[in-house]
Amino acid sequence: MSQENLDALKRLYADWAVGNWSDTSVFDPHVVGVFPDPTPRAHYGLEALGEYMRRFLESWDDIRMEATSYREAGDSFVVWVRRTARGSGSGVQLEDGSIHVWTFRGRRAIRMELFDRETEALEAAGLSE
Amino acid sequence: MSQENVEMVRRGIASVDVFWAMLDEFVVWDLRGNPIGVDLDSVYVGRDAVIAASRHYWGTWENYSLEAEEIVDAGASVVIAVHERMRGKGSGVPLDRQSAQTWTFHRGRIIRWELFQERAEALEAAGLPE
Repeated sequence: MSQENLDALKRLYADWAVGNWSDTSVFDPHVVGVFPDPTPRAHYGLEALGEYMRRFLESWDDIRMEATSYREAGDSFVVWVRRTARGSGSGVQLEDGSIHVWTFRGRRAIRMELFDRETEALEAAGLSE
Repeated sequence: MSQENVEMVRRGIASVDVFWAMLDEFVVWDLRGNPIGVDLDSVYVGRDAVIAASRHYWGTWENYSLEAEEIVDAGASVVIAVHERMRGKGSGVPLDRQSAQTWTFHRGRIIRWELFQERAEALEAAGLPE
């Protein structure tokens, strides 16, 4: 199961790396996205998550998210992500890194959490030292 | 970790206060697989909403008891075959029903609580088809 879920995540990030955001098959309809905003804020359901992503994507041109590393933690996965983009209108270049923690129930992702700090992401996945 | 989850289920089944304390801030209670009536919605999100809704559900009954007849370790999730026995408040009508649930844990908290009519449905949802 976890290998299948990891493969599904790799396919998703391969799409995101080339700017293809349309495949939502890995997500449970009632997925919860938790993003720093600046304190953690939850977005419930695929529709809300999609709306969040739409607003985010509209702020940037030519945005890419490339997974650089994966680590398994039970039914969760930690994914290190490199993000590049150009500000919509401003032309400002963005290049930064973040860490995504995914939790699956069966074959569907039921939670996606985004962290700026690796220590927090590892703790969230139960991998802290 | 998954054996810890099974132990947490045992404690949560034994005490509703312990159960509520296990709920994650962003927990989802999904009743789509087993709409249990008493004017509940199909999905609740967030700990406060889940506590309020489940308090409403359990407050509908008197002499309510919940027994875990089987607990199955499914990694981050635990599948529970449950047996409820209760009596309608006011009506006094007894009700006895068996169903199944999954509790999915993350960081020692329940992040997803799902209800199913059949044990097989819960097992399949947790990635353990019979």
